[in-house]
Amino acid sequence: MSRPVPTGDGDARVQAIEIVSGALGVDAAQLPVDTAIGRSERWDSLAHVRIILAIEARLDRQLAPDEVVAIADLTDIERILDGP
Amino acid sequence: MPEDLTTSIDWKPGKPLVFETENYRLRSLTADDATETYIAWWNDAEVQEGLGTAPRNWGRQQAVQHINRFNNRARFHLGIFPKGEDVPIGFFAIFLERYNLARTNVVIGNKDYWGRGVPLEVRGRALEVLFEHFKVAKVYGRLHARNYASIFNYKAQGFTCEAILRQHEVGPDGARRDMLMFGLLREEWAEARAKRAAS
Repeated sequence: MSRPVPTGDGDARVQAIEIVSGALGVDAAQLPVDTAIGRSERWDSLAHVRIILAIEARLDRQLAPDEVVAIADLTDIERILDGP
Repeated sequence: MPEDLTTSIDWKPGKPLVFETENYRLRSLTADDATETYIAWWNDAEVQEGLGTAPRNWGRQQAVQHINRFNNRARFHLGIFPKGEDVPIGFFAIFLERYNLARTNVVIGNKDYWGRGVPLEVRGRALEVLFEHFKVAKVYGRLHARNYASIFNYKAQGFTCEAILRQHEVGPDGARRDMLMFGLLREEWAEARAKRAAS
């Protein structure tokens, strides 16, 4: 089993963990560091919708198509939350 | 997926196409399948939203005409039937195109089956049929850019987003919207399958 994600690496990282753990229904402290599409059974189509809607809510805007298609793991989400 | 599902299919041009997944049987629909259930999918706003269109307001005649447009040669309109049942929960369309391309789309009309991974299971088997039996070089699909569940399904199956088509279509609300094109090459599919088998 992958080690849990270290928290406190930065605001965007923490937010990404909160979003994904919330969407997947797991404890943030237990979220594996390599959580991603294809690696986590809980990350299914409905969880994916929840993740993207949660990102949009945090950013208070719709994601651009290139941002949406880039999302496959925690780092992708962190990058979007960090902004340009 | 059980081994016995990977056997070759028995199909001749113009004849119904039939194949199975672990939980579903797919077969070419006929005019007799234009039931109230089937017609209702075309008139349901939520179901049609997945196709990027408004409800069609179809009756049986339009549904039969639609089914008859699929010739079982290069165009296939397959009902998705839970094994042991004779009422479909959706359909899977295949369009064989020149240059050895295949375009597919899937619609789950029965909302009780939403979120149950049906598109992944059905397209996973369809990819085997397309790459192994029909010998296509590439499978692709188009969807609107805010269909997040379908985007997940394509990514989970190893498809690559090859194009963002800006303001390419008009949605049911009349607003222009972006479309995405996802594609999967034969080599990518074969490599992913080999990895799964090795793991």
